[in-house]
Amino acid sequence: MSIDLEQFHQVFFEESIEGLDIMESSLMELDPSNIDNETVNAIFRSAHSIKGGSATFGFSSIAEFTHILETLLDQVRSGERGLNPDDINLLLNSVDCMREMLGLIQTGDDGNTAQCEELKVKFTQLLEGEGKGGEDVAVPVVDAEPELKKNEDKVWEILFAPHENLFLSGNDPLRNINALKELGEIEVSCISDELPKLLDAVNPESCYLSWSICLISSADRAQIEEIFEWIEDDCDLEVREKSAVENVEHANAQWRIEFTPELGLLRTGNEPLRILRALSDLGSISTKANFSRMPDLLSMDSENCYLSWEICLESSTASRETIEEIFEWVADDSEVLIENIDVSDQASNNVQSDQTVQPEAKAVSSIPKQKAVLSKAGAIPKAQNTTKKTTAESSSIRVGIDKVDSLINMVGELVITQSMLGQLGSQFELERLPKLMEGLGQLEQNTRELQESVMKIRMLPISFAFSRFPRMVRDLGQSLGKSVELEMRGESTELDKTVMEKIGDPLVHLVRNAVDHGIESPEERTAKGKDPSGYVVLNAFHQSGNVVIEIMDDGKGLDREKIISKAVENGLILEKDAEAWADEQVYDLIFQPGFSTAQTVSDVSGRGVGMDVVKRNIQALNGIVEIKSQKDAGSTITIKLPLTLAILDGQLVRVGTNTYVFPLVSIIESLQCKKEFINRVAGGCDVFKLRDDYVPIIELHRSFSIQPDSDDLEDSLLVVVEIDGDKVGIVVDELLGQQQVVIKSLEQNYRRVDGISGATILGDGTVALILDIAGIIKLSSEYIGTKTQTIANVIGEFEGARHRSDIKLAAR
Amino acid sequence: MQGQPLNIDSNVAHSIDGIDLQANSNEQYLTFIMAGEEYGVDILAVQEIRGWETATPLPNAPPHIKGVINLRGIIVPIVDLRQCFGMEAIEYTAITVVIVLKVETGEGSRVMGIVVDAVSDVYALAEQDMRAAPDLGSSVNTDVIKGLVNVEDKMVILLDIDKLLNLDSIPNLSELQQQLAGASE
Repeated sequence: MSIDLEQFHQVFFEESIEGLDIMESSLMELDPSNIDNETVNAIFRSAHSIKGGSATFGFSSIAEFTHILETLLDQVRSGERGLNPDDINLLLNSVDCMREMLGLIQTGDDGNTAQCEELKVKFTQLLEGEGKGGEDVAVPVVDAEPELKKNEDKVWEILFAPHENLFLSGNDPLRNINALKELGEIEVSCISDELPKLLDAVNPESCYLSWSICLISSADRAQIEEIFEWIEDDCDLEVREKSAVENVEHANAQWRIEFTPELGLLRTGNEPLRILRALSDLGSISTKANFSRMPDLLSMDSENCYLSWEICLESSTASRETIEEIFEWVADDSEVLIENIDVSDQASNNVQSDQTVQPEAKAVSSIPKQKAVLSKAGAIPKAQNTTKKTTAESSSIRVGIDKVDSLINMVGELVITQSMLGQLGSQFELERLPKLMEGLGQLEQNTRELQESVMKIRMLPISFAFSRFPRMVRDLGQSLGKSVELEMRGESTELDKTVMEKIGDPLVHLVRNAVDHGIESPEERTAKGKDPSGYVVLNAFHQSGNVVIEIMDDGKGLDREKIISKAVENGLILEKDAEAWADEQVYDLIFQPGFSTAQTVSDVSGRGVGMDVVKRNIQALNGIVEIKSQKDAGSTITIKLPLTLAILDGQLVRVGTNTYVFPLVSIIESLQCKKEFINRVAGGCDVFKLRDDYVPIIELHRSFSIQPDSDDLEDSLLVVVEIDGDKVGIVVDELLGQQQVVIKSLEQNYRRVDGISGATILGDGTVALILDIAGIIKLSSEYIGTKTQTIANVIGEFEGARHRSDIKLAAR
Repeated sequence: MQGQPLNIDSNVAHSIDGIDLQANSNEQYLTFIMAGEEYGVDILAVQEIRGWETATPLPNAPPHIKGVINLRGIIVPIVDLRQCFGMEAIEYTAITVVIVLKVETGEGSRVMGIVVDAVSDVYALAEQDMRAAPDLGSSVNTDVIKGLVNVEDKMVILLDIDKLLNLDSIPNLSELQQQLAGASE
């Protein structure tokens, strides 16, 4: 009976990813100058269990990789080896690499990545460099001179081609290969060219295969030949030594060719397909067509060639000339860009000579060093693979047993209450009414507790989202030449899993910004009299039903003048208005699309996309984001998020026959519309004088095109809501109750509706729609008719007017 | 256009005799009546048939989207097929029927309800009994019609609901309706 191991794969992946997280965080803690044994042990344990698991499930690529890693860690653990910051970087890279490998394996790939090969080589070098005999014990070298052994590992290239009748003489090639393995590290590739087709008579007793073996060993030729001594007459054997330089042989060149024909190419009688076919004769090719030049269907001319191709030519012995030759005919009618994606210059210099490379060299190309060279190139097709395959990934969460226990308790109580009510109902008399009320009260309490417990199951500590930052800040700091310290507070603050998943990317962006734009360079900081190393704080805490996340830095802060000049330049605001704006309003501008004040665009941040995306993401979570900043003292970005996305505290309102739900958090107050407080502004927007504030009025029935009880504002109620720091009054007919509502998606079966963020089911089973305040404001700006002038602008003008009058008052 | 009606006529004669309601076919269709015409949808897409209940209207929705209802905790939009086909809307009564359908879209399946006058019958139809919708010129989109079938002298229009209830463009089929009626005579 066999056990289906596949059912455990998911668990293995989850555990391995957890293990990698542990490794990563432990590596971050590791101080090279003072290695803490416990931390190293933690790293070792994680690596070890990943190795064990992957070996069990047959993911040999990971098992092999972790094995090497483990050997290194074992030496560190036993104190044989110290670690320097470069080693830690290497180990961190290997964590990334393993993550990628796991991802690939999940998609059904074998998980071998070029990076993995590269790292393997690095580790092997590291191990061998200081191995000092301890590592090479496996090599049964008797007669090799000690000086040869030191680190004179040679690379041997062995072509082992047994004759067909090898098996008849009772020899087994496997034995020879195993014997070679004893000598050192080998890589074997099998050449099956000789293998006849299955239909042609295959003689099971014949040996059709031959092998090309690459051996890295300190053994000399005699030792190698000794292994094959017994079958010398039954095979062709070729043993060649390769020097390190030769390793970078160029048999497996990778060419990237961008082929962009001119539109008229087809008219000249050329056929792109023919070219591709000719290329495929040179080696294996993968092509990607580029449709970007494709015009609209209507304006398409069937005689034109709109496509262009990106071709990746692999394992070709071709030189640039051979490739260019293929494109010779179309050279005038197209743009051809041929690139050798080898990183080593040496390799590209060798191109010419490699045309005559012996066939075996092609197969022996898997020498580790060469793989390292190829890594860049190999990564490209791999990455494409991963995006193509879509994984049916099922996500799961780990729940503490205490949470489950409390849930079970609660269900028990619910059952008791239910049976009590059931009994009461079956023989109900009027005098037992108080009992019934009591039972219903109990049921209500049970339900609420149950709801809370179920919600708790989805709650995860925010450290899940924070855990990536130490690494990120460290890497960023290194690449930017800044020294940045990161402090994280409130990591145990719990947050709904869905919210957590969606807040990750915005947080990454904000932290990046803080490090890239906020923190100054050490010189600048010293000049300002600050500690040369910057300081970033991530803080999370609960505040009145919300989770608040703060990102603070002690960098240069936002530059009001620069923001204003940039905003004026981009036509977002008028210069004269800006003067009166409060700092918060000015800072809010950075959340506008396409706004970046970064002087130089770095690869980290500053392309002008980002902050608006951050804001949109947070708003989509019903959250708000605020900025406080002080020049040269730093900035603080505060994000407020609801605890959960599934349940909302709502205020039910009625307009005509429809019931809508306002998110309670956004409501400031509700009041009667008194005529004397209503003013009409040019442009058709009414404003309401709320104490010394002017609030634009939005009539919900007009935004939604429904029939209200009465068109007279006097009879209606005004619900004042706040969004993005602006107040808006929304006119409704009646306020109904307040209650918690479960948010249901409209998009699941329908689509997004403007002004509606979702739906919920009321106690009577009918559906009520949850209002999306920002959406309503947008809708209303349409009926107000001034398309260029959004409500926000109206508010801005009023705020400005108010400020000006304040200033005037103050001046008096 | 002239060739088309002729083609249809010759087919009609053939398929009236050829139809076998007990045909060994897995394709069963639920048919419903709207303004005297009989329409059919693939029975495998039908989740349930229920009476009309008031739907919560959606703001600024097109007139044929009647709103959303609560179907055991799921929010389900309701489409009035009559209005969708450009027919005159009728008042909903206690016997107005909503057919809840599972519609396959590019991103997955959606549950939607359609309001029809009455549910009629279930037919088992073989592929060969079905005739393609006549080409009614480019002004009318016949994509949503899977085919036409004659059952006991009646014409049944089989609808491809996956295409019909594609939300982005629920077509106005009023013209189609008229032309179909014309073509079948």
